[in-house]
Amino acid sequence: MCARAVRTSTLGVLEMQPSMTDETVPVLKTISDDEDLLRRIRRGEIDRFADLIDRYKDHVTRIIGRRVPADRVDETAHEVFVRAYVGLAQFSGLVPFGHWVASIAVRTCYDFWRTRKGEEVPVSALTTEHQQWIEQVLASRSDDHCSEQAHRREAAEVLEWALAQLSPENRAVLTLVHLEGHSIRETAQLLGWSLINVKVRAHRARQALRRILIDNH
Amino acid sequence: MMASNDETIAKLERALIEAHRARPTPLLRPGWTEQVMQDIRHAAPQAESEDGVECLIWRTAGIAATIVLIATVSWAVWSWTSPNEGMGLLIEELEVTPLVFD
Repeated sequence: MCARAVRTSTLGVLEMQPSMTDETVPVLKTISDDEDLLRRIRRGEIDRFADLIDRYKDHVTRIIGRRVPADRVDETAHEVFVRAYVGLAQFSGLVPFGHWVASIAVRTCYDFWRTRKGEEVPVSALTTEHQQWIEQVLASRSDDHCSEQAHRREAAEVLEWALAQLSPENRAVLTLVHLEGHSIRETAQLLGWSLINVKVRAHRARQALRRILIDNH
Repeated sequence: MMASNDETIAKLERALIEAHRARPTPLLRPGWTEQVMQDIRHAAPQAESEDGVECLIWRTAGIAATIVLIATVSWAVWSWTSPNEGMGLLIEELEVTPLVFD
């Protein structure tokens, strides 16, 4: 779905060209800088971890901001970096630090919805405004008009309403595969699941979303 | 009818995908990094002690394995260089030790 070119230049600079999304991709980071920082942190210079946080906090916030409610972004991002620090011994360096921390961010967001699973979060019904937005999208004749509609507040609210009705597993996979365009393999790596599990879930999650949209249209 | 329904849903899906990607990146509150670092400094000794215990276990296991390996190799070398000495001592022991009913 999403073909992302990843290559390492002769200068040791990781260049990634996002085609559909830049979710897990630091725009341009030097691996050697990260390695140097990580070496110093492992030697006991804990305060150097603040430099890593500054380097990757926008990247992590962008991932989290699309997954958890706005008022929970700060605490979730906080948890991501604490988890990253505690798990630093497990970071092998085989993948860039940005990818590793993105994986932690995705899994932390998944855990966020898993822990809320038993809380019986009420799913509010669509309002007249939302229904009108759906009608306008369906009535749009051109792609430009459809795109214009997607940037309205109602669009994000309808999306949130639909996602709230999915299980945490379906929500995580649907977000990565269908909304962000990650491949099955990338999704499996980010979530730490098997390829077949992601493949099956991606199909089921999309069917579930379609059912939700059909039932309420 | 079915095709029309699929087309309708596809249109909605496209709009929702775009809505997802159009979400702005939230801003973290001022002083957020410092708060994270406070927690990390607090977690650091714990993480280090966990690492330390793990390291100690592996080191102990490594030393034990090395000692066993050295002992095994030494015994093998010793028994290879003096194959009859051990057997001779055993025979001598049997000859000297009286039997139960003797």
